[in-house]
This record gives sequence, structure tokens and C-alpha cells, in this order.
Amino acid sequence: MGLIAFLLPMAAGWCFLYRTRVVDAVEPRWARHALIAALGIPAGIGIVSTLYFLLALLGAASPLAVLSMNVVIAAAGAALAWKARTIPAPVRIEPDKPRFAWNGLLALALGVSFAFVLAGLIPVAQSMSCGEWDAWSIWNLRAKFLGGLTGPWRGFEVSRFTGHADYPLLVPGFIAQVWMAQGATPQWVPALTGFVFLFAAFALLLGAIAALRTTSAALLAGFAALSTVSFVYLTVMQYADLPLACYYLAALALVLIGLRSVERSHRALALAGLFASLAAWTKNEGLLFLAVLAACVWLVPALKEGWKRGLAAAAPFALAALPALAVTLAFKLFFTPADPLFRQGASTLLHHATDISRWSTIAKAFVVQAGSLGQPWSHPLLLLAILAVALRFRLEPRLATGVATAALALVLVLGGYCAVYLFTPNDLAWQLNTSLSRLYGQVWPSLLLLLFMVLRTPEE
Amino acid sequence: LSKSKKTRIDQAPPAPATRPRVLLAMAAVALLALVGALNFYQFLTAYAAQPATSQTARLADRFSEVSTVVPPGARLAYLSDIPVDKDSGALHSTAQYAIAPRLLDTTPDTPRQWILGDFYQPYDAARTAQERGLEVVRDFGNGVVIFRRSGR
Repeated sequence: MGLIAFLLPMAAGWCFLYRTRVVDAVEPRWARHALIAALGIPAGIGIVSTLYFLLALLGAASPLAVLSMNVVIAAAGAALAWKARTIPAPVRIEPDKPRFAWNGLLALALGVSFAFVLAGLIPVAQSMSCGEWDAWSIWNLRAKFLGGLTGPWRGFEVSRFTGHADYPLLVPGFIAQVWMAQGATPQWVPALTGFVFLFAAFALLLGAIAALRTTSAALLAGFAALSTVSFVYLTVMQYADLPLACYYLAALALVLIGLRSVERSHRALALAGLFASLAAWTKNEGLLFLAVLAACVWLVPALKEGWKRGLAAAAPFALAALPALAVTLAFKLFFTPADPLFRQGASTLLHHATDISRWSTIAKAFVVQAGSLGQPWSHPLLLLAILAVALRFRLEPRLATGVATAALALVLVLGGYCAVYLFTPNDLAWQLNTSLSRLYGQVWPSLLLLLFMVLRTPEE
Repeated sequence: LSKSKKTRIDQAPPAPATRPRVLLAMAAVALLALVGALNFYQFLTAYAAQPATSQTARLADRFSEVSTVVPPGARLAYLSDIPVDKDSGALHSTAQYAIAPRLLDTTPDTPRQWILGDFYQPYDAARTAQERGLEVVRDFGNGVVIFRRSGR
């Protein structure tokens, strides 16, 4: 039963994405299929997690309710996908992309590299079956409380036993509904969830770059992502940072697709809003991301093309973000204590803001952590530097609005991260040591996506 | 439809000849990433084999039988020979994770019907129970005992 509750949300998400037909015009074909799967699976996980939380609130969570929910969602998705087969595919209006002669060899090398990394991660996941510290003390512990309900969710009472009671519940909610359906708490659920998000992140990164640039550029981005060992290792930690990275990447890829000047897609922007709201349901950082991206999706097109175009872009984004945002805000307002960050007095905040040593500690930590992204001889920054020197930069005019929007959003999110460090009530060094590598991991795939939007492709 | 798509892909123009500088850079990136992946694989397999990597899972496994005795909605007191403040909460957190959704207090002194014993030194469950006015419900071995308050 657990396996059914694990797989049906993903299948439903795939059907839902197929039905939206947002990536129908994408070439090459492998990128289209990769994008449907890599967008659909996280979407299904996020939607089911949200619904399970509502079931838990109502005191209606039971194995039968979970299985019924999954079957209904999957059946609805299948019906939508079946209906979509009769809709003619949109006409592709972008010119054919030139083929790079060595793509096959590059793909082979990337596949072998990925197989090596996977072969290393699997024994770690088996040995460290409970995940790293925060997995069993926060994320999976909350999943156990949510998945072992015998009545309505106890919110505040239980949150005293888990710490960080204000963390949103997308990952625990998804795992909990599988555990509820299974009637047990096998560790393969959070472990496999990590691998699902790893595959989704890679498929999304490669698919989006292949769709918007070329296959060779996508494969090169794959090498850079795979070399970022601190990002890849998130897979076995069983935290919410890898899912968050995946939702950031999905939202930004869809913003790039949606804001292309040739064929602006309101459906893509609506999906971007959905994924940004699922990021908010995943971690607190996601709330910042959602607010910032919503503002950028309105502001950048408005400044470049007029206020009406800005509103036309922001409206579908905002509408699609509303349901998951409403659940997140309800959770935040009614079921969790305020974040300690916001419980500090103005004098403390002012003291932190004017303390130059805090600024320099944060700046140093960001630089040092950048050095720890990968191993010395295959460091992603080294690989990217080689590519930058060889390929150089060029921004295609059709991608300019999307790239500007996504870049501004990421810069503001990183600025927000710095502000959180600046004002944190915890010991700054401890906070940086225990979280900065994961924050890099959250934004790293998105940074790669943007970088490969402005790097020339080998074909150029 | 698929036939027309295939035709369209086949008709994609070949790329102009790539500069040697670009080819060299791409080869270097692919090779470095491949070697890096191999190194990472070796690191991860060695890491997986270290006892410390599986320590939490092994500690949590000790409590796997507790669910056969204590109902899911219960809240337990915690009795250990390593107090919570002496191990930064790691052992208590592991026990809490293992027995969730049951809730676990951090001390033995809360008025709970059930008490989880979590011992890391040689112990005598019957004697501990007698000293504290408890009764042993079950000694699972390996340092894990479920007590209950006498007279309830």
C-alpha cells in the first residue's frame, strides 16, 4: 500500500503536466519528456502533501482516506491526460537548432559520471538509513507524527518535541501519507524521496537548457551540476533542501519558458507560480523566494514592456500560487510559533546591522563555502571558468526578459539569505557552519540554469 | 505525428565546425567531471563503510519492539544513564525518532504511565524499577526497557 501512495502522486503529477501542454513545443523530444516528468513528479508530490495536511487537520487521515485520495487524484490526472491526446500540438515557431557532432560522446561521459555518483550514494543511503541529524530530529520525525495520527493533528503540542516548529511540511507531509498508507514507517520512503528529487532536479536542469539553448549546453551543465558534490550529497541527507532546490529550479525554468518574447505562455507562468508556492510549503526560504519571484515576474516585464504586460505576466503566476500559499500561511499563522528571527527587539536588530564583524564573517563564509562546493580538480567553479573562457557570453534577445526576471529574483533571494544571517539570534558562526552549504545547494541548480542561458553554446 | 517530428529532427541543420579551443574545453570539462565522479564514488563507498555512518540507524533499531507494547498515542517519560544535557540530546532525539508518533519527555520525573529506559552501561532493570517505584513491563535487552508506574 505504501508503494501505491508513493507512486500514484508522481503519476498524477506527470498526467497533470502532460495535460497543461506547456512544453509541447519543446525540442528535442528527450527534453520534452524530461521536462514533463521532472516538473510533473515534484508537482504531484507537492499537491498530495498539501492535501494530506488538510486531511490531518480535519482528523480524517487514515490508510483508507490516503489511498482514496491518491486513487482519485491519479484517476483525474489520467482522464485529463487522455483528453489532452486529442488536442493538436502547438506549432513550433523557433528555428531548428544545429546539432553538435559530439553530443553522443558527451552524453555517454555524463551517463557514466552519473552512474559513478549514484553507485556511491546508494550504499550511503543504505548505511545512513535515518538520514543526517536534521532528518531524524526534524523532518522525518514530523513525518512520523503526521503519519501516525490517531486523531486531528496536534500542531503546537507535537511541535515542542521536534524543534523548528515553524518549518513547513511539504516533505514530511508526502512521507507521512506514504507511512500512513503503509501502516508502518519504513526508511526507504524518505531515502527514495531524496533520489526522486535528485533525478527530477537533473532532468529539469538538462531539459530546460536543452529546450531553451542546445543539447550540448545541457550536457555541459550536467557535468557542472554533478561535480557539485555538496549539492549531490543533499540526496542522502533526507532534508528539505534538495526538494526546495528542485522547486526553485522548476519555477525559474518556467519563468524563462513563459517570458520568451516569441511565444509568451501564461500557462507556463501559472505553473511557475504553482512551483514557487510549493517552495513556500517546503521551507521558510521558499516563502521569501515566492514573494521575490512574484514581484520580479510583475516588475521586470512591466519595466521592459509596459505595465499591462507586467500585469498579464504576474496575474496567472499569482493565481496559481494562491492555494498552496493559503495552506502555508494558515499553517504559519495558526499552528506554529513565530520565527525567533522576528521576535527580536529593534535595538538588537540595529546592533546586528551595524556590526561590521558580522558582515565580514558572512562574506568570508560565502567565499569559503564556494570553495567547498566540489573537489579541487573537478570543482564546478573551475569547470565553469573553463567553459566561460572557451565559449564566452551572449544573451539571446528572446530570453532577455526571462533571464533578467530570474536573475533579479535569485540575487534578491541571496540578499535575503545574507540578511537572515545578519539578524539571526543564534550564534552566527554556528548558523553559518550548519546551514550555508545547504543554502548554496538550494540555489545552485538555478544559478547553473541562468549561467547556461547567457553562455554561448558550442554550436555558436 | 511522430513521423513528422522525426523528420523535423533529422532536418535540423548540422552545426558549423566547432573551434578547437571550444572542443578542448569541452573535453577537459567532461574528463575532469568523470574523474571527479570516480573520486566521489570512492569517497562515498568508504564513508558508507564507516561504523559512525550507520550509528543512528543502529541506535534507533534498538527501539523497534517498543511499538508492540506502548500504544501510538502514548506519551512517555525518559530514563537514561546518560542525561539529556550530557549528550547534547542526540541519544534522546534518536529514541524520540525511533518511538514516534509516541511522545518522549526529556526526564524520568514527569507523571507519565509509561517510562522508556535507555541504558548504555550495564544495568539491572528490576533493581532500577524497585528504586523508583516502577514495574518492568518488558526488558527488550540491548539497554531498552519499558517501565510502568506501580499502582496505576
